[in-house]
Amino acid sequence: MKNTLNYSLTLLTGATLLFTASIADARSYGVSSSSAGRGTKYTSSRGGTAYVGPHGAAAQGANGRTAAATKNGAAYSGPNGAAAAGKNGGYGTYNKDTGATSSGYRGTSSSGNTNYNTYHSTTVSSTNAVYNEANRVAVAGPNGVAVAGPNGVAVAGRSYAPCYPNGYVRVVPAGYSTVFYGGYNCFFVGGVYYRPEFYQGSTVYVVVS
Amino acid sequence: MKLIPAKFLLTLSLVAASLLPAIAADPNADQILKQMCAKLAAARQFSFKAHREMDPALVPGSEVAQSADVDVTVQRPNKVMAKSETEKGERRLYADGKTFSLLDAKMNFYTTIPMDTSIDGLVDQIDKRYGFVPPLAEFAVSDPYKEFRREASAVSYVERNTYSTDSGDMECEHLALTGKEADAEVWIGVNDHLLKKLVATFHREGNPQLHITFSAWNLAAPVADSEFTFTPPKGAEKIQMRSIAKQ
Repeated sequence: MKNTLNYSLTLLTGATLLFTASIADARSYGVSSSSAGRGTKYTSSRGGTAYVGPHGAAAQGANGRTAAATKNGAAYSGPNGAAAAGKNGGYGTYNKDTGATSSGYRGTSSSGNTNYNTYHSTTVSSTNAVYNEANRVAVAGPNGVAVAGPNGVAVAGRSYAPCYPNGYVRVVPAGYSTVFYGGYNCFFVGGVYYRPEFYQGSTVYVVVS
Repeated sequence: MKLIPAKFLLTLSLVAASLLPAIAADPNADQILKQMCAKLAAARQFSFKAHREMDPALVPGSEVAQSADVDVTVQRPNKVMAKSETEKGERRLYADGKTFSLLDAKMNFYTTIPMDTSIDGLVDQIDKRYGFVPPLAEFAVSDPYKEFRREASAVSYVERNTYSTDSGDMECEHLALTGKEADAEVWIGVNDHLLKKLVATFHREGNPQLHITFSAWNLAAPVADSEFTFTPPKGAEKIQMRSIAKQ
């Protein structure tokens, strides 16, 4: 069943809050973005899309960020990282200055930078983020995400990240201003300049500084 | 009447013989595919529309299924214009035989690069240098059959069935293609020999699918050269197109 909604405050709020997370993972909980009938698709007039299944929901905003929630927890991801919460209280947050930081209900914490490899998984080196609380939460990095907990959710954030070179993002964070920088028109937000380029036929943004 | 063995064998032979024409009449799937491709290859200029739906695993940069409405206009040997509209925006690609231009209509970004080549050369160079191909380019190249058979190691006939569209029902030949990367099913019109639908199932985890429905085929489309000439919209900003070779 497919419903198209006109402007819905609820959906818009949901799409705003729930940006980029693992709908792929959510599918295993009965939420599907495919047309296979495992979930109901809702589309807002502002470009947000949500999928609701018997065990959870997932949404994508017009800017490409997505999120998922299941009975075991929830996760969302922004343009530079991700966060997740499990049903037992674990959660993780991303700090764009230090790389990744996460903490859990029982005191998990880590910081550093996580890297993604080119095949949809997140790798963590000894100098990067550390996951040190069994049963609870995990970590998010600047270009990829890794979140796991046996009682919580498992989230792979931006599966598209591996498609782009380091330093590229698909979406400029909200609140930017347009400035001329380094010989180019750039978007400036949070102390970072983003220069638009075409890459593999799509518009992406290079982090200039 | 009791049949003696000789009569029984004769009867059996006659029955078998009566069935042979039906078996022989089973269409040659490869010929049907070849006929469809030959028709496209022979068209000097043509246009068509397509609605494409891709499972998330097939969409770089997305975790949700993507649907796109694609309009393609071709003038052989070197001009093509394609417009692809998705929930995220609209892209337009222009090749006028001298240059290739790409426009992100939503963000009003564009790029233009020299590309003095045929459509085949364009597809090849864009793929090698920039890592993508114009949407549904396999139908615009000079030998679509070669493109199909590059991907499909075997073609088999499924059945003739009725395919329903907004403009009515039509009889189609339903073929199955087997490939290394994906298997596909295609529906080709019995009367016009044009592709109506393609469903590809990829041999990847989750078996993601690609669905394309084709419509508005026009093989006698009056096409002006200006349709392939890109003029930047007002206020559009020219940006770089990054080569994949730089990684």
